[in-house]
Amino acid sequence: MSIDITNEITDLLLAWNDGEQAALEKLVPLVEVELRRLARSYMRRERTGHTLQTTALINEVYLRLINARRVSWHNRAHFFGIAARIMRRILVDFSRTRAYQKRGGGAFQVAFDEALVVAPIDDPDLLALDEALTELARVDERKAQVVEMRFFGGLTEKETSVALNVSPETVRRDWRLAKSWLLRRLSEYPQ
Amino acid sequence: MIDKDRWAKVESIYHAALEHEPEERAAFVSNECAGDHELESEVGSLLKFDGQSEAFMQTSALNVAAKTLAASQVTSEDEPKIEDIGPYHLIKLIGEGGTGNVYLAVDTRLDRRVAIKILTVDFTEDVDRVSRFKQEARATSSLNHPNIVTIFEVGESQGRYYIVTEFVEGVILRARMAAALPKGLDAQTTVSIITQVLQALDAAHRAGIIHRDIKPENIIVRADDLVKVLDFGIAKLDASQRASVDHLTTRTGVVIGTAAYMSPEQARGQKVDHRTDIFSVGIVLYEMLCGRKPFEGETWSDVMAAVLVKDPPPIDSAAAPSALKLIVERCLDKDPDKRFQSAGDLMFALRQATNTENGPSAINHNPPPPSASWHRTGLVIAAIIIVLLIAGIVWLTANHTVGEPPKKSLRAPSDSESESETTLTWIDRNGTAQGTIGEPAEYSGPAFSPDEQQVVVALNDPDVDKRDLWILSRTKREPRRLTSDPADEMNPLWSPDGRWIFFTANRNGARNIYRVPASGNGPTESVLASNEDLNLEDISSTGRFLVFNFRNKGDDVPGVGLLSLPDKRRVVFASAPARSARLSPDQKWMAYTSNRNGSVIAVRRVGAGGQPAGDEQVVSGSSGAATTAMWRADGKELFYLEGGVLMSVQIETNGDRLIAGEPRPLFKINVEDQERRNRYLVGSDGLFLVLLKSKAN
Repeated sequence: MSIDITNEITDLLLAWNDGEQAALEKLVPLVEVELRRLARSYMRRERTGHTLQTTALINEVYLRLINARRVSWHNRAHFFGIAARIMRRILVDFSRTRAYQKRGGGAFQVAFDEALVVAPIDDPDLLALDEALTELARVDERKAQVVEMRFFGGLTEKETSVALNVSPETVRRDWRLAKSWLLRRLSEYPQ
Repeated sequence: MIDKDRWAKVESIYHAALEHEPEERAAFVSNECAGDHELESEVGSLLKFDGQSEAFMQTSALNVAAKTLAASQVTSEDEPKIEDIGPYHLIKLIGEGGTGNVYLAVDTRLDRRVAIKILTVDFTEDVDRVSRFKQEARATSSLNHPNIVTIFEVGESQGRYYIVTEFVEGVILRARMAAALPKGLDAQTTVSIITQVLQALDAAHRAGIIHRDIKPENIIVRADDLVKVLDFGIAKLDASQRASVDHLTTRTGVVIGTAAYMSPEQARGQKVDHRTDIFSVGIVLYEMLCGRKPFEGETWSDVMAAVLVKDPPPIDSAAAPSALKLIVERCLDKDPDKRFQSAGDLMFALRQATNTENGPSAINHNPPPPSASWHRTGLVIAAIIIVLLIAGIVWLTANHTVGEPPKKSLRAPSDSESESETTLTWIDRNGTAQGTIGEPAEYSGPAFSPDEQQVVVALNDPDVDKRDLWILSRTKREPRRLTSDPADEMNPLWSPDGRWIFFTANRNGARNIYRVPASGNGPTESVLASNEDLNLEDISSTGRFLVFNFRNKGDDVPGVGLLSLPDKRRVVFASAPARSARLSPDQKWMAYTSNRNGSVIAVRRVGAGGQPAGDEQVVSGSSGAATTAMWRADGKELFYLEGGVLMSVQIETNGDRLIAGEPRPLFKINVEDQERRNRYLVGSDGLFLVLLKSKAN
């Protein structure tokens, strides 16, 4: 990905943050290109037996998506929060399209019978999770934000705490309760 | 909607409870909630999920999405689309490797599930490699060992080579290890897995076959902890690919994984012998215990440099006992002559170091003569051998007394609940018997283990006319007794993760639902208690829902219910006369015997919240005597019994619609009480396991 595109994405993100809705539409295809690149490299690494390190991966994406130097330091945590929200939208939309294309609707069966590859619960279905997270936000908005930043945004506990202006301990507690809450929600009957 | 104050209460009790030991939490929560049962159940159900949430959302959403995309791209973009190859109908991609992709497929001739690896195009273009591949694969297919994935066929179709093996359902060791990160696995699990890998290697080495590519990706752990080693014999091809891979990966800067499991002699391109596998096992052992590789580097050459000259960082003493650390170090000696000289030697040393046994094989194993370096520890070893032998005798004795099946009896059934003597018989689609499992006895309600290698079944003891649960194995002769409670136990089901047996028992004046660990080690727990009779029918493929029929006291009309296990929520699916309910493999449909108008097989959609949705659809014929529906593993066919004949109905689904074909008879079977639960099972290999009336009866 060239520097130009990285700058473009950063501009679009900043513009979207400033309330320019059209920026999102331009942003999505750029992120999708990146997702495909990532998937390809994921495949290559899998083939050579290398396991992916999540944090490395996320950092790599942000380095490619965002020219962090153009965002001032005190803004950065806030900016990552925005990026997490954008990530959530894009990834969930992406999953929705894939689910319908590949399986003719119904996202739930995606997780089935793939024991040979991964245990299903480790990789939640993004659509179902997104819905559950929206429900969680109605009960406790901050916990939903913590999940958004950590899971969708790949932020660390520290980064999340700075972005939300709470202590890392609070983030840790929120994350733990939120996970139990979401797991419980997801294990209820599908649909 | 929960209000803010109440939610704050939930939150504070939840976190306070986490400060207590898990077994004390329920009492603590109960005390804190002071009689507010709704609050108590809210906190309690959240706490239940706390222990399960370790691996949940460990990896990022981006990673999940990229994985989905990666998996779909393989079929749609990177590889030419393949529908079928030879007699194999490809179902889906289940794995990728350097030499080719692996698919789940059905062998249409035998109607059994297999795994098929289709070699990449660039591989096929190399004549030399193809001929070596064929030679090696043939040698490997001669290996017959429970820890080695069986090769059924090596073939070629439209210029593409493929290799067909048994389909193993389990978790790749890599996934097991990843779930434990940043820590390693515990020493006992590690040794149990590696010992089985070594048993596979021992058999292969004796046959002159070297694996050459032992790594966590090539090791599968099944739900019952049986380990299978993959990719025997074709591994040589990866090694010969190394030069080109090296070039490619250093150019693109992608970190190499497989290189990290190579022995120094392999890395140098020297001739290797079986001791290269010992080195690779050492690396896997190290990584399993420590959660990191012994030799790491940014590039392929860095990794290789480390393998060739560096000593691995010492293993943290918390991760493994010192005896185990010494063993790992010895495996990782750069000089093959200084490593363990055989897989058998290493296996033996591991067992001593951990002093754990691994079933009867640990006792049967003949220790090899100690090599020179062991002399100084000779005495200790002798003492350990004696301890092992004694432990072995005790183990065998204990096992034997528990394993005594009740005496057979030809006594006539005393009442309608009694069983008559049956034989669990495998029957193919043409109605031909293919063998039996266990001895003839008074069986009822069998259910498969997830891998279908074992059957849990209720067995009636004619002397007291009460049933207990037993486990029969396709590979072991001795049955294993699971329950010995004086009450009547029945309707067992195996949880999809292999850990639990759910069952019905009449222990408190009504039939209730319980569970017990499949290993037999652990107490029985109550799952659902009620004054009504509850009979277990099915468990969903996710293991999260139980299906049962229920009957009010004095009411003859059983209905069907669903129970969500994590939160114990009950849903009534059918309150009309219905029984023998089975969820389709995708959980979207329920098939059951409906007794509203005669006895028919009905199917209905399972909607939101487990509620019935859409109309009840009758799929059986007009005789009104159809019972006991069972789904095929792919959900595309439904079977049922009608007047002693096994019937088949083709099923197609399209979203909310289900289209059933005309019922066709398959074969006549001699079953008694055909309306009762699980008179037969449908194996994913296409064989039926039927409770046939014994000839002696």
